[in-house]
Amino acid sequence: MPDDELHDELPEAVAQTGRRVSAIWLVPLVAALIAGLLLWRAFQDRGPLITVTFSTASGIDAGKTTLRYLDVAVGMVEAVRVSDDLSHVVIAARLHRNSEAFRVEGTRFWVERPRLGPEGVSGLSTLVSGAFIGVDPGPEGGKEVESFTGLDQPPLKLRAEKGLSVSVFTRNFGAGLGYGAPVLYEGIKVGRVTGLSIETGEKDVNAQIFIEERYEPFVRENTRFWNASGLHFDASLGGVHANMDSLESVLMGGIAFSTPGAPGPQAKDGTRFSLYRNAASAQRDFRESLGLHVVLEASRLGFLKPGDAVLYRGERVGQVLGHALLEDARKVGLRLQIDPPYAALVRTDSVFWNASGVQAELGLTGFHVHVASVESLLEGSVSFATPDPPGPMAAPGTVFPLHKQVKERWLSWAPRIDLGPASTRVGPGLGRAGAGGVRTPAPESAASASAQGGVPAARSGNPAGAAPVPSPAAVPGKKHLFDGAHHGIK
Amino acid sequence: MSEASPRTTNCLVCGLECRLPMPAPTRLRCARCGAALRFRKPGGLSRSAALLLSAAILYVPANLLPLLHIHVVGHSEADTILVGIEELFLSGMWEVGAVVFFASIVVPMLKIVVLGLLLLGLWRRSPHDPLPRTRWYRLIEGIGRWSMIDVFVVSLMMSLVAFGSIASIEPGAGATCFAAVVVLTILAVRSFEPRDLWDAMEET
Repeated sequence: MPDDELHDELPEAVAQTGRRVSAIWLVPLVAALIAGLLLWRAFQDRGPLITVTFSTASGIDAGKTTLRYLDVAVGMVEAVRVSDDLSHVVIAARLHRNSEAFRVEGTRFWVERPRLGPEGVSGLSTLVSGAFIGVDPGPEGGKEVESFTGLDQPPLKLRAEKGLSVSVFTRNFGAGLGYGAPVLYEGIKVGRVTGLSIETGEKDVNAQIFIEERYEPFVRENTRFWNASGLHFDASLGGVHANMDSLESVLMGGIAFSTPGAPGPQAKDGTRFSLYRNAASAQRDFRESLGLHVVLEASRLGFLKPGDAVLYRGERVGQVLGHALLEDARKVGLRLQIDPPYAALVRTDSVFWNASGVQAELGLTGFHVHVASVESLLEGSVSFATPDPPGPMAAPGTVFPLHKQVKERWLSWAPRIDLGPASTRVGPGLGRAGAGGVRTPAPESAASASAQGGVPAARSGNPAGAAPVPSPAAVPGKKHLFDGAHHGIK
Repeated sequence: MSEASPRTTNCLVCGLECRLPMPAPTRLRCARCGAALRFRKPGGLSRSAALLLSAAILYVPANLLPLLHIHVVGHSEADTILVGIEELFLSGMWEVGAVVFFASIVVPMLKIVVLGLLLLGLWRRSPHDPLPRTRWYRLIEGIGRWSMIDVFVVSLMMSLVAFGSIASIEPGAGATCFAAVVVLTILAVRSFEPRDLWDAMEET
């Protein structure tokens, strides 16, 4: 065979000895390493599984909806199912690694959706990105738990948010106070109502209030809160006053506060305050707590009613706080409050008489008409006089008889009683309120100075915004007159 | 290699036809240029098996890890291949879903399984008819590149959907693994020597 011959002539290949493990097996080794590393890393990031129950799963998608704290994703919803009793929705969520803080007892969960409220629009970003579950971690170091109950509404205060939490209670809310209603100070929103509750077994409504950190110093222990909800109409002889704190408070209700007088120590977390019906009643309550309180006994009430003026030489120095029948029903008792600067005018031997309306007196000397003041023509008033020389100062709660008629002799009494410099009283607050006869309060500085033993008050005119009727400035000419008259007394 | 020994072979480098020594040792070199003489594809069974094994290993993270990270206005989503297909079907685009399912699930699985079986048969010297097995080989060789459409889709989406903070798409670790799986299966199929299938026939 020529082939065979040819074959034999061909050079013979060289044999190669030795055997090596093919390097190709490094490839699966490397692949296994990479795959192992990737998977290990992916599963390392997985944190614990928790369950949260919600009333509805609207907007929640398994594998899409994230759990977020301060807009940082801390977990992901893995499954959504209906609870066994079909009453709510149970969401299983996988937290990310190192998120133990979000599974302690007290952690709150809520679904963040776009919300439109009187206070504005919130959660707009969720329109595009879809709903997410907000997380607010419970107190640090709490017990780790696995199942939680979700909130229907976003919490109004995150735990990390710094500020003051106090509560106010009231028997009757004038207007509905909404969850999230604003808390106003001088018309500025400084906080919000974070919760409403009814005390068990009582009729007290408790409103939890959160004050932002920077406004915390405005809340003192002697701060007064009042319901600033909606519109207030105040119709009296002085005219009709409409009062509105903010549009938001009209829609949602609101609470306003102010600190009358000298600011007390700063309020602590958890302090309870009572809530006044409105600004005027908060104001009145404060004013009424000042000065000298005495009681008058009369056989008939006459025209007197709470708020009526107490006059001394025709000058308003106090007011009637209230009246009631005395225990034996034989007399009517009237509670009077004498404004602090004038407390010294009331002595044990002072006489009080009803100066309401026009008093006509027909006697041997002729026909006398007494009019205590123009106001008293329309509204009742009580006048008093103190003999010369004046007796000892009247103690709070002293009982005086209320005379029906004034005696000429009393009007001539003019004892010297030191009231201090007139300038403390003839301030911008001294003016008379409009024809309504509701006297605006004396400036807080003056009031508190005398109430607290002459310590000058740091704050002046603080609750001005709370005054129900704006006080017209004192007429300059009048001031002059007052000064002169006063010097005369001295 | 236990193929029926030819008596001569051509050097693939210099073209010299060499006579083979008898009995033939496992490794030969050209008498003229010294290059290794090859009768079959180098590495043969073990190279193909190693590459296939790597592909099979990487196929696990390729399916478990997200293929894509989609960021749309503050919302981000990471989808694995299977979730993506599920979504395509749920949103009514079942034709597209079917294509993606075929390319990214059926093709790689088919390649891994078929090639694995072929290699297993070789390793155990299966006496089955090599003809259908050769046809299976041709099939997986033909469909191999189709799996690449997934990788192309990811890379295209990534460069097309790049609107900064409004919308962007990033490939996930799954995409890298998946690309590696496709490349490794293609290489494994290429390294496979279909002539080996017929050796058993010649021996009998």
